Amino acid sequence: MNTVIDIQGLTKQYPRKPRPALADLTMRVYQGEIFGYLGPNGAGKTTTIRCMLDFVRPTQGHITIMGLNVQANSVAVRREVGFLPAELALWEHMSGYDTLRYMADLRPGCDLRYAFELAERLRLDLRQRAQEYSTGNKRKLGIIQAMMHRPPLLILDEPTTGLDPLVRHTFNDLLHEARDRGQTVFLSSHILSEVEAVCDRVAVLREGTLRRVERVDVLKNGLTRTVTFYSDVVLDPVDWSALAGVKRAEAGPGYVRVYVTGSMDAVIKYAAQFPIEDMRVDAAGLEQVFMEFYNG
Amino acid sequence: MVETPLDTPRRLSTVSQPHDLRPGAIFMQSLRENLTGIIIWGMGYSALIFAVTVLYPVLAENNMLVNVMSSMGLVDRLAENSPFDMRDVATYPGYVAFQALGWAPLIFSVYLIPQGIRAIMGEESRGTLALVLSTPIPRWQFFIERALAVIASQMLILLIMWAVFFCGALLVDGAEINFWQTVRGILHVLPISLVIFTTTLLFSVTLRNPRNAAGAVALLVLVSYFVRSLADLTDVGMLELLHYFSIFSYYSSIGSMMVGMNIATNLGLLSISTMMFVAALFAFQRRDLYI
Repeated sequence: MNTVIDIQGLTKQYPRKPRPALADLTMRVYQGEIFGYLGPNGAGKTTTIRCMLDFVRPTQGHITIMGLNVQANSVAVRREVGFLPAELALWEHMSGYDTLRYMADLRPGCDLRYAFELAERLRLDLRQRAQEYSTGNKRKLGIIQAMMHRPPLLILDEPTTGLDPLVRHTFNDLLHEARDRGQTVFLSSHILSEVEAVCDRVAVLREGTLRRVERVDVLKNGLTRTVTFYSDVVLDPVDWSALAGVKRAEAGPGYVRVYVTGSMDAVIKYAAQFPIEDMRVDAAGLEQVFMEFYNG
Repeated sequence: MVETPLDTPRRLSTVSQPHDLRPGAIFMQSLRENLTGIIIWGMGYSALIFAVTVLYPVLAENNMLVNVMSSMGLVDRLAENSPFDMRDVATYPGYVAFQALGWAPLIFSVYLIPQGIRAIMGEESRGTLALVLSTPIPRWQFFIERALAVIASQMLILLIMWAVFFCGALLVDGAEINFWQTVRGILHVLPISLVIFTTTLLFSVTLRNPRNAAGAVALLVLVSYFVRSLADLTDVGMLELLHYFSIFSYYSSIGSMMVGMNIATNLGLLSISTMMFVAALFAFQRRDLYI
């Protein structure tokens, strides 16, 4: 796998702040993956992105994008990047079309036809002025300007804020298409279901330090799932608690609920000897991962 | 896991090419943003010049202006420090220079300070700088194009003023003024305007807070103006000394029209502007951007 983003020992200490915004951050993002970047407010997500685009300079460490040090080759790096900021600001008096024209003027070799195609898919009227756009429509314009030059690396900070579910679906399709073309996506988001749906790997950041970088499915497998069996016979929770992978079990009228980590093989085989009316599995989501990292 | 270092053949073939500079896009966009301001300021100041021009025959006939100034003792006092005869204010060019252009640097501060703040800080605090600088535009190019757009705006305003001044002069009976006097009178506004603008740029990129930067420059301009005005009217030793540090001491609308432009002072003002500009550019190039 080719490394697209290589962050080594990145530390950023802002003046007059008690602790560093980022502390010794090291991670890699590979070509063709959608990489989720998670963390609560103030965790250092935006600072990481600012460093990647050379808006702010690290106190220590360095970032390499496509083999180029971002500080020494800032312009060359930004040529390969499409960026959507979390707090998107547009030129209010300019129409969507004028905004894209302006951005295309600043990006040599940009194909506006693709931008119009994206606008059509996202159902955005480019004739309106930015000040007339809703929050969601502004976001769409931001997405288009980030993607319109088909950059090898997309850096998207909270991209779907304000988008309706239908457009989110289209946006997810666009991300998958980008990945299929070999583009890399670095996606910072608070919407965990969205990260779970589109990302291959995630990094979890807390107070400027990296807690974990892992594949989404591996993260989820390590979590506890809740399985509830409904039956007419009385099921003794003590027996269930002794099964492999079961952390604990509890019973109520007509059901037994077991908390399973890892493989469910033992639980399923054990349940097969009883007349089971129904069964429900509450799969662990990224939200649980998130909560475990921040509470634990 | 074995990692290959980079998709070298495909990507570096493009990134190692020289950057295609797209000069002018930011400049033109900024100029378009300033268009309304250019028209309003150009027409507004031209209206002042035109009003002064229209009033001139009445005042000249009655010698009112010189009489008023003489009664206040101003003519003699001002004449002491001037390279020209203060009675020149009774002539048409002197009168326009005194009444309409004498205030120009102070009045243009109202235009140039907000423009200087908006040029860089405005884009940064608004957040649009994030979009512009996510493109392959070097910081210095953004800075220079934005600053040049404000300078070009100021020059366009001066051009409108000059056109009205020159055309207005043709309409006044007995207005003894030539083409070059009108050019000098207007052109002399530019160097001091550049000092005010570039000082604002420097304060805005270093102080970062737009209000603090605007307040600091406005205070500097006002203090500078009053130091010069008081130094002209009193013999206090401290003011005599301080007035050399006032930029207004190097602006003389009457002198530039009646005697000619003082090349040394104008070059001095341009040098200060250049130094401020380079310092602002250096500070912007090096500092963190909070976008």
